[in-house]
Amino acid sequence: MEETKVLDRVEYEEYESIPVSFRKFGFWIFLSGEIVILGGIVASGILFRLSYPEWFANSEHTNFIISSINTLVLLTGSLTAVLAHKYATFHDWNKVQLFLGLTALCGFTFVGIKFIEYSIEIHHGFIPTRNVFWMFYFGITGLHGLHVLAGTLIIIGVMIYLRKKKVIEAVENAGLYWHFVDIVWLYIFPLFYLT
Amino acid sequence: MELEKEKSLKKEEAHHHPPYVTIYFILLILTFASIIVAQLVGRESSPPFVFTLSTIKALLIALFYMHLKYENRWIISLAIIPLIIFVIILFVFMPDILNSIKM
Repeated sequence: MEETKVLDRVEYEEYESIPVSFRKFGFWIFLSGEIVILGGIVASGILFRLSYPEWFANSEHTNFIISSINTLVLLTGSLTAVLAHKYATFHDWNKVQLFLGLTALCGFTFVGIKFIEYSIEIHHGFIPTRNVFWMFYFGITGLHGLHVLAGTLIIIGVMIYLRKKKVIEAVENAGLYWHFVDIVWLYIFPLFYLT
Repeated sequence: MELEKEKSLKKEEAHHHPPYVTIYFILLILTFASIIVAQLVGRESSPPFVFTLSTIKALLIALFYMHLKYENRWIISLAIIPLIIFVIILFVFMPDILNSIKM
């Protein structure tokens, strides 16, 4: 009994020492790790671009129209994700479901367009083993695509969870992940399609 | 500590949600601008312009969509510390990259 009391007090004091909810704080710790991992991978691509003179000749073969559409899709997803959070703070849960659904739709659209883009490139003989540029291209955009898919599945998971429990932070955290993936794309897009 | 918690809650309530749709249109305009700049300047010399525009867009998303502008210092530090590590890594590898360009 005494042990339980002490434990409760320690937990309480820990909570008081950080004036942020544990859910949000924990999610940001996870995001910090993601910043270093994905940021490091994208930075390696940017640094390699500086030292690889054939970069422009290869990047001319990437499809910037398709990728521009995908940029629009991701930014629209960011807007709908943040609107879902806004309506969650107003406790308008129908709108939250609507905007989360739209965000998930953006996620699937992005992944679908990416598959079309890959199939066009592979059809033209641009495969990862062709040279270092295409290795970076498929590696980085593929890893990012998996993150978009993960973000979409998280959003669908939150939509299901909200039917049982109305938790604003769940909506906020799912949105945070989406925005992070969006920010990473903002650097991938110019790296492979514009420079 | 109680006061700080109260302040943080008040700050969170006070931001009244920034104009998300306006920010979205700014992001679209900046994206369009980066495409135009890349086409006009050419792929070889476009990186300083397009990556600057990307950084402005990333800041807009981080500050307003991720609410870092209104966040508590604990959350802000969780976002900044990995960025500092990231910049250190960049500078550590930069001399090797620059050397390989000279070669």
